[in-house]
Amino acid sequence: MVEKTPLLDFFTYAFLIFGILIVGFPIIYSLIAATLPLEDVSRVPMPLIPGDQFMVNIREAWTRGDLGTQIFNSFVMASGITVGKIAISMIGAFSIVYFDYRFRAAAFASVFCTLMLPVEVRIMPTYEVAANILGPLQPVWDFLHMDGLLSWFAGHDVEVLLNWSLLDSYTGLILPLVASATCTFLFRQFFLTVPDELCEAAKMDGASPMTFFRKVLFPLSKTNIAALVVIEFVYGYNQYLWPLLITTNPKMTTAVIGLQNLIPQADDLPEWNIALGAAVLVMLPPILVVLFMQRWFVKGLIEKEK
Amino acid sequence: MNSRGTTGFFFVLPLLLGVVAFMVVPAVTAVGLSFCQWSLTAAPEWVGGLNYQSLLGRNSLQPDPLFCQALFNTLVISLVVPVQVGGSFVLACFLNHRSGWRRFLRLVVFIPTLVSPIALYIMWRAMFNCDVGLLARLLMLVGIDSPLWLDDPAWSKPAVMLVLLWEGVGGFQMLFFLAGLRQIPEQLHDMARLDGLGMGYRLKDIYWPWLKSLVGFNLCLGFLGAVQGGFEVAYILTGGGPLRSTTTLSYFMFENSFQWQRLGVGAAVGMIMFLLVLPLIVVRGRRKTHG
Repeated sequence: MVEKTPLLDFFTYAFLIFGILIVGFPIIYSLIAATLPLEDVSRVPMPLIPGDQFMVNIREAWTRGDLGTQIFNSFVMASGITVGKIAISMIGAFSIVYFDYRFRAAAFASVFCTLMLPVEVRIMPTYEVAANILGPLQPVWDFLHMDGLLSWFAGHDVEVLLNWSLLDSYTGLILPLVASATCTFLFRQFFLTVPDELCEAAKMDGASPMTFFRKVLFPLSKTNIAALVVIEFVYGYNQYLWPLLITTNPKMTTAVIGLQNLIPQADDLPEWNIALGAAVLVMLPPILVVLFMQRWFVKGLIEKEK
Repeated sequence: MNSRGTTGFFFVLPLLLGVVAFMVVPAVTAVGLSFCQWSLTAAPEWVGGLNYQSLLGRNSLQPDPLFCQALFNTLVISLVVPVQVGGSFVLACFLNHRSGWRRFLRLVVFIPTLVSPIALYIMWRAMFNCDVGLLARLLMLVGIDSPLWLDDPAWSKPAVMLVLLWEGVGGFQMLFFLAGLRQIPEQLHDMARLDGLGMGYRLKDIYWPWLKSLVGFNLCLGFLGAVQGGFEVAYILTGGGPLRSTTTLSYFMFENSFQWQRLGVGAAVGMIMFLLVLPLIVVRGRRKTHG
């Protein structure tokens, strides 16, 4: 489409600029509000000329909400989810595509079925699982009469209650979100397009499965991995409901939850400048990650959803 | 490679353990829980279909008004989805060029999808604020008395829909349309140019036939998201109010499960939500297998 239609171009540009203004509107407004002192931000109407209080507001939000710790937590959570999800899914897909064992079909079907389950349905029982991740093992333990066995060994009565809570921990923030059917599915689709000859050649040369994975599959998957790193990082960083449920300690919670506590309530001073400053700050990391890795991101998205 | 033996099984084990522990077990528990009464203080007690009956109503009892309201709110708010899809379609057509600044624009309109919805909803709360908000002020400029938006039950749903529209147009749906537009053969555009077809004809004869399956797909995904989602927007932007006018099903479920200690009812609401979207999941799955 190399054609010049000045009138249409003009309308297109006008439309686009209008669009940008609409999209950018709340964000620009927030940026301005974040630079104003309290008396300006609560004045009617609020001035639309930026003030000079940006650093002051950000510092206030930083200390009041303990944002430093929480942004660090968000990074730990996002990185943990990214690394764990990609590693587990990739190895899982490797196993499903390249190995033959009795439960292969069953394993794949069970992973695939979870694609159908909406998160909301299982979020509450997931919380129960995380509150005591060894809970499901208790019936097995009791069934095997392990208490009796231990008592026999120890010579006196022993009662074992299996209990390992993931609440208020990094493990709890990360682990339940790591097993991913979508991600596994993506890797499976990709591995299926890798020519069989590569695998056979590796076999001829006497490469073990692990060597094949390390030397052939991994280098081939680098593009996919890069795309997934971006997507999963953004996904992990923006998680809301899960950290809200599983953390009660403000030192363990994430930046997104911390933000919520800065919203002025009905009886507080309307300190929107501080809340909006914090919001702008918390928004930044995903935007930066995508800016630096835009090419991978878009490629990955288009491949992921098709 | 098809190596025999158990090595392969060990590779899939971490994934399986994770899926079983955090997806299958919770899902099965949720089904069971929806037939129980449980307030966390005592052990769950089997009550049969009582939770469902109290929500949906029995021959003698009325359905739960709070549930009906949440269902109604969810359905009304999900009416924004077709508008979202339409907007995304138009935007994709306009941004479908490889030139530099449109690429930049694509990133700009994608920002609301990228960043935390919580941050966005905080911004919108400030925008809607009836005293200092920008919207009130803009409307004042053109001489209209601004509605109270989030403080008025009549205006809260349109306000929520406005925010969702703003958030959704330019997000994933636009990205899918862009991917679809890329697949239109260049010759078609050339032919259209040679024949001197205007924008309207192009939309009707080129874009629409190529993209209509994508429209269906996006509508499907959009409704799925609208029925299941809506928790954050209710929790942060409106608190479900005023007068429960923006309480969505997922927020109602959250209230039941975590605030009112009625975990069984919460699970039942979750199952009803699942059944509501089941047809969409089936349709989408069938589409996928057809190519």
